[in-house]
Amino acid sequence: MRRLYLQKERMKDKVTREFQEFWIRTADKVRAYMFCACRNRADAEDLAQDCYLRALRAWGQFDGRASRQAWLFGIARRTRVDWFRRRKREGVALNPENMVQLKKVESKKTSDNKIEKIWEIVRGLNYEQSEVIHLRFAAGLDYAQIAHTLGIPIGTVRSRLHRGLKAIKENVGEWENGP
Amino acid sequence: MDRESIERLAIDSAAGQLNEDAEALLKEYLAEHSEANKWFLDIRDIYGKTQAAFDVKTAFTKQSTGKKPFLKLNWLPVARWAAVVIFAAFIGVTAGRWSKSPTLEPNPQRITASQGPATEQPSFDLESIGESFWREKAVAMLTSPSSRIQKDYVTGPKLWEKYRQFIKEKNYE
Repeated sequence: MRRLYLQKERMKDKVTREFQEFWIRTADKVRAYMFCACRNRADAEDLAQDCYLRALRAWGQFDGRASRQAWLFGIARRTRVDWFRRRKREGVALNPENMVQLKKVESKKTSDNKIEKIWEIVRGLNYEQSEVIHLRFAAGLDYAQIAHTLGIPIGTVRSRLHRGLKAIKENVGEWENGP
Repeated sequence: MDRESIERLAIDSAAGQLNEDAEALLKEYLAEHSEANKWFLDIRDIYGKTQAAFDVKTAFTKQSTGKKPFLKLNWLPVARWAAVVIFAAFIGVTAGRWSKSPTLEPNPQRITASQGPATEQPSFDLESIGESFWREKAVAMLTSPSSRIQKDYVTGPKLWEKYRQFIKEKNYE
């Protein structure tokens, strides 16, 4: 009985250490991914914390089919979707499927404005394309990890990324050329 | 190769998803086809700018990394047990306060468990001995101030002396 108890305590310590190391490696990427959705630092921190709590509870259920990071971002994606649904119920106008229309930037076309412009363009993209772009540029996942997170083939990841970047390129070109 | 394929390869190359052989072949192809090279560079440029935009906007997330999360204990079971113990203590204290305390009798009856052996000193009469060598000896010992026998005769032997005598007699047996 005592041996079983000691074994259990050792396992708990091992899981705690593993989780802490994993958190240090991935926390900034998860926060960045959440920030892309909510555009608010406080909400991004809350969502990231929620995501890690869910990951800790399900730590032992990881099946090893993909990387631990891809598994985590699957949880992060579901956390994001739940947040959107909650906001919708509360009456806040933020729907991932009908993104906000692009706003025209009237001021000087400086590099800072270009960054803002690209940020706005990404926000105005199709939901499927923006998901892939968030996972690639904010979270830094590779194609296989993105495919596993979203449950789609790698070819679909490539084509959505290509279409998203093409849309960004066209909109930036229009903005640079001016009305 | 059409524009879409070139652009897709450019994105794959920027994302680090092409192996070395594919990269070498692509480089060779682009060196020979200037228009394809232009498409390649255009899409690579927008890829770089998009990455830069995300890096700038999410720079704050890298500031607070390094601190380990504080994994708190699950306090709920501890709180449950503490509540049970406090409730039991409360019941015990309340029951103890309201119950009657036992009263002592003013003069409890003493019960003699056992009686020890009689501790009377053996007495003897010097007169009954008569004149003899031993009578003289006995008188001298009794009258001597430092005589232990005299002390015992007067005050009675102490417990330690009684014990020593008991051990001697036992050994002689």
